[in-house]
Amino acid sequence: MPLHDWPVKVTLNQKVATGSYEMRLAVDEEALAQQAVLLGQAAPAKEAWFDLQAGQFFMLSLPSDGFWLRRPFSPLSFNKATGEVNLYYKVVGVGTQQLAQLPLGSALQALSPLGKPFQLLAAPEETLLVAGGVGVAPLALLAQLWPQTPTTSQKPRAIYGVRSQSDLFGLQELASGCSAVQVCTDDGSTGLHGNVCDALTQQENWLKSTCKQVLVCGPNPMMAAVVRYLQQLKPDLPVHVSLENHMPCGTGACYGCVVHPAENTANPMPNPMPNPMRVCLEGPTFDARDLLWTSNGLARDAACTLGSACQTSATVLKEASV
Amino acid sequence: MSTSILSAAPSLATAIGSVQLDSPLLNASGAFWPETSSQLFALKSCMGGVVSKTLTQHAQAGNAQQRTVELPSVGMLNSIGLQGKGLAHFLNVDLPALVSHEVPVVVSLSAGTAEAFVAMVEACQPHAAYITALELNLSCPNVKAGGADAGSSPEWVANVVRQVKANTHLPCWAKLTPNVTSMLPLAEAALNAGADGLVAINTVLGSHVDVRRKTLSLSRTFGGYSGPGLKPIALYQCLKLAQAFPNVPLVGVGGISTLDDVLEFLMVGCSAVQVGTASFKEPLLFPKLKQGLLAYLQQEGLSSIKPLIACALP
Repeated sequence: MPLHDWPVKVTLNQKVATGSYEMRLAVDEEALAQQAVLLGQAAPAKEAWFDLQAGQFFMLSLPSDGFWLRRPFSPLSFNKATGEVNLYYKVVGVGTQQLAQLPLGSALQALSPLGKPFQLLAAPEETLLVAGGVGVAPLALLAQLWPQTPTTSQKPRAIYGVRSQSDLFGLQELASGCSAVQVCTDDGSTGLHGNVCDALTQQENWLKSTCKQVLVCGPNPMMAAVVRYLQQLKPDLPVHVSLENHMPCGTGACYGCVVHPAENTANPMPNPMPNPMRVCLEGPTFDARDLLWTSNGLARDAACTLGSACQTSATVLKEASV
Repeated sequence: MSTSILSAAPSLATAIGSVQLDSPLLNASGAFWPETSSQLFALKSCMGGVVSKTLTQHAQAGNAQQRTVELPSVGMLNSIGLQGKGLAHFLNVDLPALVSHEVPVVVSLSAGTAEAFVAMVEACQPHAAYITALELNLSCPNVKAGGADAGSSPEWVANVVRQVKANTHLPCWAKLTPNVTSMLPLAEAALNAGADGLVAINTVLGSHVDVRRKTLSLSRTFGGYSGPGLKPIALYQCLKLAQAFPNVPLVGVGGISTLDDVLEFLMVGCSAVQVGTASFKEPLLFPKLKQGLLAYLQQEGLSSIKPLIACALP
């Protein structure tokens, strides 16, 4: 899919729950034509705005008053009839605060598509999607975009965990592409009173007998728990996760967003030393077996924490403790 | 096509010593990924050259997370630590890919000792036909060996440059640290040892506290500051270098994000500039700056950028 820095306009930006917003972005055709002149290229067809596969993301600019790094987003859904890409975001810092203030019609830029899409290894009906919070977005998009699944029974299953009923945004989009969605809440306000691992336990028989792939997106501690649970239940079950991280460039340039590879993996790093992987370029979707998990998330340090003898990481450890 | 239109188009051509470039616009090392940017615009038409991410002799894992933090409205800090797959991988895989874009390639190198620098330069020799210049990164704030601490010593800088120059005919630029009281002794050491150009500046040391978590944001406790707030500092250092060493081939870098920023650096004596962090915010910054420069020259009735270089020096 060709990469473009799309000029877009905000067509909707509304609060959907405490601290959670829905935003819609449509291509600004006039600005796109001007940009094509600058680049000396033909403007891409505006339909190519939808040339993003589930798991991929775009880097969205913030209002340009002062210097702001872009922010990575995964769309929740497409509305091809209106030309809109639909996002779901939480206000987590000053950048997303700025975003939440944006009036309709605001002009932004979206560098899209970036990263690797989910790698699909099983039929939809043998696939389980596990979403936590705003991590629902790429999984909901996947469920909606899954190549024609004629009957409901041939759609994927999903588990969607949130803190409370009011956080259940994107459920409709997720459910529209799934045969069943099991909702769970920390406070029991709706669905199963418990976390996604409690929901997984309830599906243990199906997981063992039928499930051939699990795709997970949510907070790192949740993903770590899901990966650990599934590795114990069915060690050969492929589990793929979609990560996010501080991502200054989103394009592979800065190496700011790296995660550490598990040792002895089949990841395609052509050198013998564990070289951290960029979430933006080598991810954001990964086979969970290729990542170095800790009890409550992902390792923030080099792979030597597991005890291998690579000198570089030893230096890193020493420096990090200064 | 009419030749009169062609001859009327101003030229962005520039020279850094013996190195002739079609444009003064380069990327700053470590802030550019050619595979992504080349999908957006033709590198050779928008940039005078591409500077590689700084390479180390062997693969290097870099620093622990968290490696970056945004400083809203003024830029960011990074402490990446020169993660990479090592020089051999670059020469065998990345360099041919870069060459296919028909853009001059500046290879940025870092090492802990002069001997290791020499070994890297020797490894580059068989590929010299594809390398326009070497940039010796003597100023990375995020590595222990051969970083900004070593690069603060004029003796170390002189030794590295002298030994590198004795082992290659490639033009060698010295990228110097601004984290010193005065950069002039470093510049003098590099030039006396044979450096063919100076690149100034690297990032300035900085820290950040995550107040909510009551911890330092970066795992290494500090990093290098880049972004628009760096520009007056970088410009000052380039000014001082241009005044102390008239006509020295000088590449300005630090906080450049607008056309006026580019012009300021040219006007204090830089023959070329490098743009880094600002291209994270604006992936199309290179085509924009190129178009802006051409429009500026036309508006000023200039046929070349050369009359601008050092024009503001007293």
